[in-house]
Amino acid sequence: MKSLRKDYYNPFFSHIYVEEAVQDHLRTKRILQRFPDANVILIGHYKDVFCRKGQNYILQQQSQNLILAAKQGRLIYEGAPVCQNFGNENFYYTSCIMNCIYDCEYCYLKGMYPSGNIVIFVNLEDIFAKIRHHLKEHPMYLCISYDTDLMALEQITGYTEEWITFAKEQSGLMYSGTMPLKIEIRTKAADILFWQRHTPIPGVIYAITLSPQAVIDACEHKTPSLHQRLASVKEAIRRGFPVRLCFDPMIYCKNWEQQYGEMLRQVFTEIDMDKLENVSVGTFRVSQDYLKKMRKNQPQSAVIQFPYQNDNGVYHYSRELTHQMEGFLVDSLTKKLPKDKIFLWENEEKT
Amino acid sequence: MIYIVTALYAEAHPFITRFQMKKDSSHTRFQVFLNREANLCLIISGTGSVPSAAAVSSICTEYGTGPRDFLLNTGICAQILSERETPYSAGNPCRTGQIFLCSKIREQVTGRTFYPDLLYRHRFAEAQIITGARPYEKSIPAVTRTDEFLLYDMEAAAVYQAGSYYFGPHQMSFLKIISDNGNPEHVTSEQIEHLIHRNMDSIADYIASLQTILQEACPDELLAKTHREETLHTEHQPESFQKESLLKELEQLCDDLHCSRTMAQSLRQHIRYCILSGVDYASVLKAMYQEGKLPCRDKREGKQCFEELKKRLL
Ligand code: SF4
Repeated sequence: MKSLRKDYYNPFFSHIYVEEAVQDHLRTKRILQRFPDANVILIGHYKDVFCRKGQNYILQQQSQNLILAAKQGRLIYEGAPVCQNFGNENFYYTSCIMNCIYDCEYCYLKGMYPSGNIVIFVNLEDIFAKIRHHLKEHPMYLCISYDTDLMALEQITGYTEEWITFAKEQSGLMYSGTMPLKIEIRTKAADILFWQRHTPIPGVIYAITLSPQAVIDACEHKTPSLHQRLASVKEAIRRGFPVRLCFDPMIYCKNWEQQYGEMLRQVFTEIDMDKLENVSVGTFRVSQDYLKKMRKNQPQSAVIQFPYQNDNGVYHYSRELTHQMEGFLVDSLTKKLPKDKIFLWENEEKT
Repeated sequence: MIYIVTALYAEAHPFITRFQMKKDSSHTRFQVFLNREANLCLIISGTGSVPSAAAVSSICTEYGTGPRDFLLNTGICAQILSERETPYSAGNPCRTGQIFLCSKIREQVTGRTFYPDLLYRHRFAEAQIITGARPYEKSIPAVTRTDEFLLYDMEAAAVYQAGSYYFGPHQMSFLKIISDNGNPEHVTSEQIEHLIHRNMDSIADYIASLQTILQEACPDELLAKTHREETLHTEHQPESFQKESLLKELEQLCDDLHCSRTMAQSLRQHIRYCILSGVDYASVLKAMYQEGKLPCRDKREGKQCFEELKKRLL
């Protein structure tokens, strides 16, 4: 699909679908202001556009459009079993944006969503209210960049900033009966200015995914280079932001040991490992339903067409390869970090 | 193939002459015109929802459709004059003879709305259209009161719905040219032809870019197959994986390994991965044949050999 000629496609966000119910919402107006040339199409419900039958995810990604909508029904979800909770109970996630401007071939969103367009839910206030309600009962560990890369969309939405402000408010309320809130923002973005414009908030952790440059080139399209990500991590740490480095998903390639070894060498050179909150390690895994769709959508993608092993509906590398790859990374990291700072997804426990 | 659907002969005629289309006389129920070299097929449906849905279904069933195909509904429409400018309608000055690409199609009878994808660059203004059951007259209150919709026709919603059985939303476009604003009885066939003809260059440009996109969008036959009935063996395979010699080679290898159905599937997935990631599987196989490890004597030996093969490949 890489041969597609860009000039035949509309530019990104040339069309913005807006649910009638949110056309006057402040966030809708703010987002629309950023795209003065976009054609705005009013719609009844976001699913009328997002869930049409027969859509081509990959083609739509060549010319992504935005859908601005109100999130209804469930606003907060309990964490999925294939994800790490980093020793936190009450692990939740929320999805205020669906889909991503980056284009990682292995991204499960390609198997999960019927459309490559991006849905932005503008009613963050309803999600915040729900969280406040939960926090009266119990603490929360909440992932807010789950079905998207929130920070990659920061220029468009300003949502990371809004979440930070919300988290700050909550930490101020801790002595009046509100339980602690921890927020994880997972990203591949590398916007150094972000760290310069914001201040660290206790309880907001930035989980930054690193991959060898060869993996980035092969399958993490449109994402910042390893060099850019490391520069960003360095700046974040320098300014005191809590950072988790995520070596997850690890992707197999013939010379994976050399590639991951070289990446670690760069990490150890650039990053003050003592200042990291923790690191996570995990090889690629995905549910069988998603992989089936991903294989159909991306027949030419090596990472997706790898002969994975299926156990109980989850595709992953063979046990032997998983151990080799994760073991290699964990062993190398152990030389620089205490073991209790290294999380391996497999058993959801510290190594 | 790009399937062009028009309601009237007068709408079709400029296409037939421009693209030198020949009548396909095997069709008796609808008039169909073809230019196979240009990958164009035109069907004249007649006016209204039922005829247009029947025409789409008939032509798509007969010719078969896949990801390299596209449905283009074109023809004249009425202009609905709204009482006031809506916040988002500014910038689309509207007048007889102007052509629009439909971004939203609403079926008046049911209130259902359909959204063709707007992925491809084009030179047209965009507008929303209502498909009604009767010709548009200014006196129809449900239509004239609306602020949002601009165009009115009698086919688009039906073409979209029938087309959805064969095409994804990225494979359908609706180009409509305004002929009147509620006085259709005054529009003659000659005027219709003239209106289409006036916009023919821009439509032809759009068709040309669609043809290029459709060629490039599917660099192999694989996606075409995913649209149709798929067999286990050809499912989602890259082009290089479908070469006949390779398929034969694989069949032979399956025999030599005494593969079960599951093993055969796994073997294909391994080879597919090797092709995509540039692993020289052929040399590995050659070595195993030379070492006498292949062909295997029985299933037990086949299993062991397959395990070794997997290790050598990855
Ligand atoms: S950055 Fe994350 S969410 Fe975005 S495409 Fe890549 S894997 Fe998916």
